[in-house]
Amino acid sequence: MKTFEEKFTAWIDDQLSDAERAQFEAALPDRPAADAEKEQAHKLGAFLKEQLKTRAMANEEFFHHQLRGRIAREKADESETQSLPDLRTTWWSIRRLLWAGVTSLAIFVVCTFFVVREKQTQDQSQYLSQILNARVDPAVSPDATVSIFQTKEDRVTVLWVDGLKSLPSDYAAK
Amino acid sequence: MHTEATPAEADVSELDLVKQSQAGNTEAFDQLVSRYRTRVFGMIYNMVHNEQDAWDLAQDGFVKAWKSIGRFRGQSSFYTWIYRIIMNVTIDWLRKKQVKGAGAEFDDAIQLKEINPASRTVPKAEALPHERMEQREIRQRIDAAIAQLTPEHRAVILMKELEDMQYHEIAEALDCSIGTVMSRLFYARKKLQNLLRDVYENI
Amino acid sequence: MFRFLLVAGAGILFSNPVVTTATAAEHVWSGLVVATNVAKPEPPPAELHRLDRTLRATFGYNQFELIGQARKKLVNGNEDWMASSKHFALHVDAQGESAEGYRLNLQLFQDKTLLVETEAKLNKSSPLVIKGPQIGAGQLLLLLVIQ
Repeated sequence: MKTFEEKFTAWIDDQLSDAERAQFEAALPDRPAADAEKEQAHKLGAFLKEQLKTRAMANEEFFHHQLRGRIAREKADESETQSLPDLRTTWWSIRRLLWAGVTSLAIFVVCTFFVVREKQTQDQSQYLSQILNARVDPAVSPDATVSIFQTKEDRVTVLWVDGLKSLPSDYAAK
Repeated sequence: MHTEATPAEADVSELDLVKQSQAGNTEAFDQLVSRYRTRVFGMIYNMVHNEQDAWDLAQDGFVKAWKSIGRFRGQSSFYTWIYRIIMNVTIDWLRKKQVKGAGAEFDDAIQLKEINPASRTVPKAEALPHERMEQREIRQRIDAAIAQLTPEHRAVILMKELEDMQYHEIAEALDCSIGTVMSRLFYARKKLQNLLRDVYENI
Repeated sequence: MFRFLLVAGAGILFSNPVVTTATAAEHVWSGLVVATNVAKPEPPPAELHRLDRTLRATFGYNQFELIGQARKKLVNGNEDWMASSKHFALHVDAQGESAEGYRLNLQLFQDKTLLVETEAKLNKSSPLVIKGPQIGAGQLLLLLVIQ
């Protein structure tokens, strides 16, 4: 466990060893506040458990009936594929295929290592920032559209929003 | 006289059912489904808040489990293994359902609030009158709060608080590290406390 | 022969030390910029030096004025206000931190109206730019950078 959050979560869930707990509690800047937060977390957990009791499934038999039907169709599709005759005989035994695969992987790893080593600069993440999703209120901007692009050279990710209402220049005030 | 199977017997019989399912025995798989369908359905429902969608996703999840049961090697419990499939199916579905790209719309479950941009905020729950809430209202508040979490955060908090799963089991089900599970729990708890404190403190 | 290649490949791979320790949380700088085209552009503010060329190339403007900025350390689970100006403000909800950066929910407000909401993974060395509305003859841009 490295971060404060991980330790705090483990402390709330009583997952720290005695030594870890003692160390963690000694380092807390505000023990009463932390205790209060722990109590809140337990209350929340109990509340969710009480309120979100397992929802019964209506018509379980029909669920099984449907599922059996789908699985039967899967099996039928599988059998059709397997019944196709295997017309080939080949020099490539399983053992040979395995070694060929392992060798290819080893060569790939070696090449990749040298390529990546060339490109990597100090202390630089290999990943661009990502937009996971974006929303615009259609009531406010009915014509807005959203798209994303990235400039790989400068590693900039742009969320491009078009169609927002234009504003007068006094909106540029600081 | 019928006696319930001991945990050891139950585990062995589950292993037998898995092996039979792997051999193509659909009746054996049917029994496995019977054991877990309620928990699976309940978990999915708490993630997606819609019975029909939860039904369909449970079906999809079990079909996927059937198709890949040959790959189950017993390194984890069967429940954890099937949970992983179910979570993948559900989270994928939730992600696709979320707005992406052009033609975006707002999710009705997320309430936009009037906020004074000049004010510094740590999230606060809205003030509610100190009166007993109807069960339905409570459920609505919980659903709305959970809806504000990402699928991954929802999964973690529900698996921990409702299923009492261990960190490593959640990590395995969600294919992430234990640290990530703990970090997501930290955030999800904070968020839900702020959104629901006035509800659970007043019951 | 095959086995030799396999061992050689593994030896080279594992001889390269890989840094795995997570770095401490860094600061996130955010800026509200109005981009315009003028006959004699002013030099960009110091905070935008690195991005100046990209902004010019991407948006086609030659002058960038900072109308609001903030530099804060984001704490997972907390919400905060970042860059703001008289009419715009950025609200951030930090949802997770990893060695590569932050997962954030970002909301750009114009006065009390939510213009754009996005969930993003902000990575180190990879600034995020959000194109906002036209303002007069210029363009509002929102920038986020891990420093």
